[in-house]
Amino acid sequence: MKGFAAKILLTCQKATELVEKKQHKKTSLKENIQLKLHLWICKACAIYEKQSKIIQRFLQNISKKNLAEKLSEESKKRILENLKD
Amino acid sequence: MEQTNKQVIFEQWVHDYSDELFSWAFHKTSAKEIAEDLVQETFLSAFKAFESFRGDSKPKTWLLSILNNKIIDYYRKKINQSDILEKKLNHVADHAFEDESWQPSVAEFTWQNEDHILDNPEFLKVLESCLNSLSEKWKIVITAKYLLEKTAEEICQDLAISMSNYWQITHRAKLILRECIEKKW
Repeated sequence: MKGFAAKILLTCQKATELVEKKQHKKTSLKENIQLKLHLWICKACAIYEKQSKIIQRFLQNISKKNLAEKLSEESKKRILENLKD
Repeated sequence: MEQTNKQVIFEQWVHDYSDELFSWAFHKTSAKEIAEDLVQETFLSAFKAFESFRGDSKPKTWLLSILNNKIIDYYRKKINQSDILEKKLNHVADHAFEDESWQPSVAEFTWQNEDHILDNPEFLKVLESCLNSLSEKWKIVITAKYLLEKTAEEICQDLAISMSNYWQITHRAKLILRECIEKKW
C-alpha cells in the first residue's frame, strides 16, 4: 500500500497490530474506523484478520485441556514426607 | 502436641485437596513434574505459614491462593528467560513487513476459508506443532488470557510485562504461526 493511500490510511503493519489489539481490548472509535477502512481496501490484511481469529479460537480451545488429572498415591506420600523435615 | 495436630491436619488436607490443586497446576503449566513441584511448594509454604491461617477462609481457598501465586512466579521466571530462539523468532517476525507493507512474497492462502477447519484433526496437529515452535515465553503470553481468565491489564501486571510488550508478542506470535501454518498445511 503505497503513495497517497499510505498517507491517509493505516499501514499494513499498524493495521495488523490493531487487529490484535481489538481482540483483547476495547479500541477507540477512530481506531475502529481506520481499521475497517483499511480492511475494506487491503485484501492481504483482511485475510490476516480471518487467520488471526482462527488462531485465537484455537488458543482458547487448547487452554481447556488438562483439566482433570490426579496425583499418584506415591506423590501424595512424598508431599507429606517433605513436610516432616 | 501442637506439632502432631498440624501433621494430622495436613495429612487430611493432602488427602482432600492435592488432586484438585495438582489438576489446577497442570492445567496452567501443561507439565506434570512442574505441577507436582508447585503443589509440593504450596503445602510447604502453607505448613510454614499455618499460624497465619485463622480459618476465616476455607482451607481449599487458602491453599489455592498460595498455589496461584506460585504459578505466577513460575510464569515470571519463564518470561525472564530470553533465549536464542526468541532472537530468531523476532528476526522472522520483523521480516513479515517491509516499510510496514506486506512482503511481496506473501502468497495466496486459503486455509482460513475452509469450513470448520478447527474441527479438522490434521489441521490441529499442524497448529499444535507450530505453537510448540514458539518460545516458552511467547507461549505463556499468548495463552495466559485463557489460562488465567483475566483481562489484558491484569495479565500484564501478573507477568510483569508492559502492555505494549504484550501486544507486540501477541502480534509477532500470530505472524509466525500463520507463516508456519502456510508452510505445513
